[in-house]
Amino acid sequence: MTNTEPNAQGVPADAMRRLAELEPGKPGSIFTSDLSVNEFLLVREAGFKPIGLVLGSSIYHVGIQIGRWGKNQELETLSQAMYHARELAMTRMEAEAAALGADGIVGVRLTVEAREFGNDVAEFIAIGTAVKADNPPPGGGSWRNNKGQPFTSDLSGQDFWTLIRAGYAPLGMVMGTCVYHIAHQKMGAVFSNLGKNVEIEQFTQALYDARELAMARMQAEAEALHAEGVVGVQLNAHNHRWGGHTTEFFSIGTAVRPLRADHEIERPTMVLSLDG
Amino acid sequence: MSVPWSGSGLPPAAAERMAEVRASGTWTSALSTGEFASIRSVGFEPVGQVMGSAVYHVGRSGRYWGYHDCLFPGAGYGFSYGNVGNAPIAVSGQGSPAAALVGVFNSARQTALQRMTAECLALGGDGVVSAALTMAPFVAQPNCLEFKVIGTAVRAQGTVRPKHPFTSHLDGQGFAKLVASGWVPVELLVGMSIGVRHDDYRTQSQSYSWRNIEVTGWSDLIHEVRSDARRQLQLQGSRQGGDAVIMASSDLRVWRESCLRARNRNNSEQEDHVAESTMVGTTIARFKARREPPRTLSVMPLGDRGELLKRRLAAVASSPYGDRAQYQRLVQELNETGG
Repeated sequence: MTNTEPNAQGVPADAMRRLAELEPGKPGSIFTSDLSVNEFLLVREAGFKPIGLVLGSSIYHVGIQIGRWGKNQELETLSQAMYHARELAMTRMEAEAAALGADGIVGVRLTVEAREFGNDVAEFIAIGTAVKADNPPPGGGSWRNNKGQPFTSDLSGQDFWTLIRAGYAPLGMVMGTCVYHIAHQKMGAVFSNLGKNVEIEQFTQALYDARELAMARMQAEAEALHAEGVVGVQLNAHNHRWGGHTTEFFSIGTAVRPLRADHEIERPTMVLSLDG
Repeated sequence: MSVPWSGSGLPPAAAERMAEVRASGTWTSALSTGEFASIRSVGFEPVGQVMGSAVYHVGRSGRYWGYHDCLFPGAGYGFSYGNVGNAPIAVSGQGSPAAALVGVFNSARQTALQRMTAECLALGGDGVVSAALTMAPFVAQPNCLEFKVIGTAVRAQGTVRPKHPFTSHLDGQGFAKLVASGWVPVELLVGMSIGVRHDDYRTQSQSYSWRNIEVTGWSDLIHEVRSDARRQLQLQGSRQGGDAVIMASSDLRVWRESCLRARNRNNSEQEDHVAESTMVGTTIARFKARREPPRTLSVMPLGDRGELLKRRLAAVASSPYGDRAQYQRLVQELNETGG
């Protein structure tokens, strides 16, 4: 938000008058939002009203995985655990938003944390701000996705604004996960490479396989939502507490659909910042 | 030698400083130049740095205080005598013993906030921006906590004065952006909730299972505690009124305690889990401005973006409300620009 002229005639007085007239409200008349000021204002400007902070959590016990020490393989029990627990947390958050009559959830943060619950227990927490649109999308229809659920998006308010401006609407957060065990090297291989700088094909291939699996699963979720594409994809590797050779590859992004045919945005004004 | 103080009103040292600032007309502030300019641009002037502090003794764990009572009738018994899988969640917002503890935290924060507001009024301010609320233990006495809030008092141009000075966690730019778009901060709020749940038989068996399984009792505990904190935030917001709450931070802490109830009943060693959620935010109220709020202008910066990002990163890292997600976004953006 820029270009406020230094002359603020009347604005502070209006603001102070409102404070002077304040009266205690009903608890239900106030909504909470997890957005920063920028995000709050941009979401409003994009034509959405925040209606409440929504939460979802799942504390999940991860079962026992039997794996082979010397083999590259996906650890399916662990993959499923990560999937299922995230799904539970997200679904609960969506259910809260649906109960509020929301069209979508913006600024979603989905975190995994290991706290005091014990070694095999992971804690999945989702938090976001439910929003309701002022108007139906241009061209009719609903802001909700093809499953009738509020859309979810982990984009910041700034990105959300830009997306809507460019004629796209978010459909939902899509994710893919793969927990992969990277084989330990055989003794012979270790010795034959001693003192050489070489590629370890086995490791390269393991990383490739795992990432491809995670991305393919994300792709499948986006296809299920009939998305045109996925924006803001992050592909991360988490080690959690499984030791050096077991890694979770997790990709997450926001699936989008077009709102109109042209995706022109107004030409940005170029600015030269004087402070750096 | 300090002057004796009854505990009501401002401490003598603070009252003295207020009188001096008032008399000299020189203001102090922790605002950066940018924040200062932003506040000026929407018609507010800083009047001085204000602070409120209160040191409370907060004892909490153990039998003597009894705050972390799980209220589970089956606690202390074995599986066959009722300790099956229906442990309730004792949430402070629904009047569990922990409510008294939350009450102590709330009144300590309130006291600090009131003292800051009193300083603001003493300087003729209309409200406080960039108020940062912190809680820190004394090094030698960890159960004595100092609740401190520090911010910059500002005064609006014109003759209209609010009923109560507003307080807000927003920095100068955030405040200016809000006011320019027709929103004014009302009050800094803290919603807190503590929940206790006994690790009953079902929870234990779920957490030792060889299968993938959700530990339902713990999920419920976390969900109840966070929902309660959200409810407390809303309840507190309705005290003065307003239209929305903008959150500054939300924290969740989980730990285990040995179960008081089981120990009192038959000295058996069982455990409870305790979760504590704290949400900090500011209520804001909408007002009708005479002027159309400025439209957002998309820009393409030509300057040295790297430096700018580094500064923003440093600001987020040093802020008590620094958002981890924002920190990561900035780091990522910084990596992209190659700075």
